[in-house]
Amino acid sequence: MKVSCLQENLQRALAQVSRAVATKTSLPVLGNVLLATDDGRLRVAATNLEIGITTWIGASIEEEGKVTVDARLLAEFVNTLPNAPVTLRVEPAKFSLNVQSGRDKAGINGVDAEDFPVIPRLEGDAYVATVDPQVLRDMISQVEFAAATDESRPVLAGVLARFEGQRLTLAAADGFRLAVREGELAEPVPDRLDAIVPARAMRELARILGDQTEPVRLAITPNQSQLLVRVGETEFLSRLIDGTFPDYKQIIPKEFATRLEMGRDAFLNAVRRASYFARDNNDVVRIEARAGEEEFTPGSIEVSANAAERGSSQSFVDASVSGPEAQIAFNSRYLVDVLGVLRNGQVLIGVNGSNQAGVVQPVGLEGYTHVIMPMVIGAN
Amino acid sequence: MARPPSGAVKTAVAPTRSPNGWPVWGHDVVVAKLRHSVASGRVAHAYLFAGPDGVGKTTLAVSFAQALCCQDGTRPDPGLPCGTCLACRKIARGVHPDVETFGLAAQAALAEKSGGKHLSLSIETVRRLASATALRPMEAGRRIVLVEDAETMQGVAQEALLKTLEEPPSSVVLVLLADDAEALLPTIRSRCRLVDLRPVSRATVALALVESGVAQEQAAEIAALAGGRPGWAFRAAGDPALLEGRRAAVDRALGWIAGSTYDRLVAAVRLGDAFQKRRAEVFADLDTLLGVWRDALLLRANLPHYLTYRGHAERLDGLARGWDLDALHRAVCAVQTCLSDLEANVRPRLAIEAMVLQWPTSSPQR
Repeated sequence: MKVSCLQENLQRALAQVSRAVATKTSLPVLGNVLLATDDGRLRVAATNLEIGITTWIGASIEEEGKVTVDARLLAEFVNTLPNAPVTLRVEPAKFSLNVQSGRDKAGINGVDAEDFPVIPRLEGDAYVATVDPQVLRDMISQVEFAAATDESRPVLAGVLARFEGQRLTLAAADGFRLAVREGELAEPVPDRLDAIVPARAMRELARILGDQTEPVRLAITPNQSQLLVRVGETEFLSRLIDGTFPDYKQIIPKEFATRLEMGRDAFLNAVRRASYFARDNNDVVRIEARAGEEEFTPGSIEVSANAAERGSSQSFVDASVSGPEAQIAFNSRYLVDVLGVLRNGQVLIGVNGSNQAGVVQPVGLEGYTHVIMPMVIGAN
Repeated sequence: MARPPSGAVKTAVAPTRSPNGWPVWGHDVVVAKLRHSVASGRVAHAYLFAGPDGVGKTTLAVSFAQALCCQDGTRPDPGLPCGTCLACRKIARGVHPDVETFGLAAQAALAEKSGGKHLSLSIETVRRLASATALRPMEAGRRIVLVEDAETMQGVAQEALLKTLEEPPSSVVLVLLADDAEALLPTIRSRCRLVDLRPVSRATVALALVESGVAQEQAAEIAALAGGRPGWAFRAAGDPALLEGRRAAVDRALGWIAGSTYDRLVAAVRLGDAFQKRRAEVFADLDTLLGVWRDALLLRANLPHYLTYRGHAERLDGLARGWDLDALHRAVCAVQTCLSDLEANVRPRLAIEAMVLQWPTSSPQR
């Protein structure tokens, strides 16, 4: 292999794929980056067998070839080179890479590129949907945090992506809460398709989407084993989780006995204040809704927490309360998580009694639902 | 993550393809069954390969994985992997992303701090396995997960594995490798297809070595010492030190039984004191001892054909002539009793001394 490219481009590509380089693995080749000539360009790829990132940079190719070398070492060396052309050379039938820029050069011992996992490419026969990158990023951020962090039920450690008609639905649940967000696809897909993507991979995808504006293409490989996302000159791959996602629609209450509407900022502040006291009491914050005294006076909700050892707090937030008075207790961390990803505005909390799941929704914005299981309120 | 199966034969002397089609010598019935299940597409979701160390568990599992993942669509028998396609080569080298091995070696490699002792598969390893098995395949149509040293799992680790065994993802084939199937919970055994690997005949082991280019005479000696374990035979053929160590162990055992009652007791005390720190070595020594007494019995009964330690036959023959069959039989029984006593946590020094005192006295009766 003999290739030359700009230092700047190589540095950027190596930084981009570095997120997929495995740090701790028993398969040493996963700590490497793949450099391969590909149709007049240089392909740079890395994978940790959960996600894979492939990117292409312009290069002048004198001799075809491929090699894998330690990703960190190569990136560190390239980062310190001046902004000038860099020549990459591999002697035939050898696995060591010579990097040269002006008078600086390095020889990095590598591994046969054949040992590197085959990263599938986005090709014609895959299932393809197109979506706006900023919408997708938003959707991911509003859903992924609800996925389970322990691995006892692998399916729940993932985010469900459901393609149906002109809609993409993302859903995640960990047994105590559920986040569902719907978004528009650029054009309808022919059949319904479910894919469960690891939550870690979803976060990585959101990072790659960054401030992209061009529509991104999502594809599921024909054997339904991987999700491929094409973002500009970069392809992101995530392996899918095998299994069936629970039927989340059953969990979402259809209607609420009591509806509370209030400003998100004020409510989030009140919950944060209470959460400091709740820390020593299993993060329990109590919410008590009182209707206004007359028809046109606003109601209020009381957000309180107490820990026997530490003390207690009460905050009041103005809210419009419809329905009977209600009280319910939630885990403060769950409330802070969901209120944190909602934009400034009004939020709706729907309650059906203190033992039924509560729902958090942004007011006036369709498509996002967050369900939280209540905590038991003691006799207190 | 995938890693080279550590139990696999990795020496200059590698097994060639055996008459049963796989590079697995002996175990013909097992290979035929596995080949048939691959060919007919009726593959169970979990297997338990059980048999002594070196009998061929890992080799069998690697061949099975190759048969399941081989990319050569034109091969006449789907149960027979081509051995040359990318998938087959990657599996043989232990770098296939869809053939992952979890075992003590992999656990040590991934451990936070190196150098720690890894005597049993931990619950963390089992959890890592569970989350790794949840993913769909990367390159092949299936994923094969090998669990080496499965018998070392403690109760909680085994219970954690049960969950994966109960609801395995559709694309996964789990293969547990255990020296002793009985060490696993009945609930685990009942969820796996049990594949019992028995010691391979001496002739087959010798043939396997000859086919791989080992000289006839050496092959015969190694095969006799291997005790029906082709894996051990291949390791010994590629590693003279291993063979030498075995010969030295036999010499030690011979020296022990040739000594006077006093010498025997001194040796017994020494071995008994070493038991706590080097349990496995003491067991290996007693095992060798059992073989030597057995050989003495065989020599006395004029059955030299079945000898394990041919190289030492002459010296042993001189000893054996001094004792009658009954005495030799009692000695063999004494060693066996000692082994089971040690398993049952009898005080090692006591168990070994009691054994020594039941041996026939070394002064010839003639």
